[in-house]
Amino acid sequence: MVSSVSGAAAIVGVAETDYLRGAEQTVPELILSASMAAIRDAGLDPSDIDGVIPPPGFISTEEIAANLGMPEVRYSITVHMGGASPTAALQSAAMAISGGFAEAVLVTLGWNGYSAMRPRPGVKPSRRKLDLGPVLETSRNFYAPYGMYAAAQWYSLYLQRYVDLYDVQPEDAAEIALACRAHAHLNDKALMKGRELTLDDYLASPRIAGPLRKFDCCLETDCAAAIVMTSTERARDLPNHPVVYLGGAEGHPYPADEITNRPELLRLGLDFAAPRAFAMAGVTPSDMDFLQVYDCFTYVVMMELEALGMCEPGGAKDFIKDGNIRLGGKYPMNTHGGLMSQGHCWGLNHVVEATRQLRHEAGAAQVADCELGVVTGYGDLGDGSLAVLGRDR
Amino acid sequence: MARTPTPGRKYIPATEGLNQEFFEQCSGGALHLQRCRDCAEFRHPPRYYCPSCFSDAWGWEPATGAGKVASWVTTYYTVDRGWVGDVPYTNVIVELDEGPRLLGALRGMDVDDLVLGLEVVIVGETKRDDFVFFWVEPSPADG
Repeated sequence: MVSSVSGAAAIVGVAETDYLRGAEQTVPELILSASMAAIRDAGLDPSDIDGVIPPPGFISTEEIAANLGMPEVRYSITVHMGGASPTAALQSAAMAISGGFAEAVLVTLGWNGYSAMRPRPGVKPSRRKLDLGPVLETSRNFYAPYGMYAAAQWYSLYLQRYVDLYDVQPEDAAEIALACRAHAHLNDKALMKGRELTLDDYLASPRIAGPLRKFDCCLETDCAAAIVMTSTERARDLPNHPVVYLGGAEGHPYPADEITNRPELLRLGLDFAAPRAFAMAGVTPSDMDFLQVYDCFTYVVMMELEALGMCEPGGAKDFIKDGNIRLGGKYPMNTHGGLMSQGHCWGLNHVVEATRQLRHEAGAAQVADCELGVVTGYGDLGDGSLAVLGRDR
Repeated sequence: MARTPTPGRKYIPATEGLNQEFFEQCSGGALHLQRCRDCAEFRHPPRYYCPSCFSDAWGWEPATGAGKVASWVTTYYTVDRGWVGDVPYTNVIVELDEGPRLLGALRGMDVDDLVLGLEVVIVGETKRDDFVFFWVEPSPADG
């Protein structure tokens, strides 16, 4: 089936705040400043925005519209897929635009992932929280009472199986962390710019849960990002080179709200979604010039690479070798440093980076002459999303 | 790794709906599971419709608690005040003889002795009328 959405909408504005450990601004301030900057980057006024997709929690469409000055919001929806939400939101934005429900859609996300997720001295608790709705009931009854309330522990329920099944060693997974760090050194906004990370540092880092060490885990960050999407036709009259939404999809493991009773423990959302997105875009995984892969944890990235079809199940440990995912390699990955070393903005920073790459404005991290790239999202208990993006002709 | 919180009480959820019914059934001492009245399949966690035959007819039935190790996770670091004093601790997914899998905390055996398929038993500890904590212990048959 040929999709009427493929190619119809394009990203025209992007922005991100600094990535901070302890922001002075509130979460709404971070979100509003990134949103305003993305709208300005698109060459638009807030009054041109008639669709808003806010994050699950923290702030509402109504507050964003009232604070920035959007007198006529015609379309609003929130995606509840944890870290898979922002990338999944792109498909809703593209559908709204191609279906005529909205002309210009803002997708934004911000949070206080450093300041609020666990007690910090001197940090005042905020009423504004992440909405964990989809997994709250199962996690509070069946995981949290067992001292399992963090993503590192939940995901280890299948990551442990993954490493055992395919004999994945820490020395294999380390390359994900080291490649992200190498790329972060090129990015002025990266939290870890200039902070060296060696294989010895990685191997010496303390264990957290299951196969995960400290340096298998992404950063706790205070930050926000935003993107603006409009029709590809209109995008060609705006200041930036359009970055076209060629294909996308979301997927959910089954059952999505509970890990232990899944018939297939290693079949996650992205396994369902990836083939649909590439088919919609009319391209194959090997056509990608770069990969921006949701890197909450190293081993999750390996499972995602396999789900994308970059390699066979169990093949990620070989796929990432020999500089293949580093700048200069065949599939440069997380060229901004990722959640691991730039900062954790739920992968909306991956969308921002993919857009900069396809505009050919990625500075020292530019993948020369890139025309196609993929962004993935991953969240809750293994939900997945992806977007195949292309440089407009 | 610097900020380790001071130990506190372990979290006990305020349960409601089907999950509360499940824990109330188990609070008498014996593990109970939800079972479809039409296709006879056991299921967990509790659901309103049978995922196999879509029937809304179901009841609670006692389960043996016996099962096999399907997977496990050891936690080495946590900021959960209820558990900081217990690290490293191990939780085990048990595939019950009735079919469903259940997560519990390992007790009475060494984590190094865990292997996939090992026979174990679920032992409930009633924390409150509406919440039962599950331990995973060596199968008495092995003892």
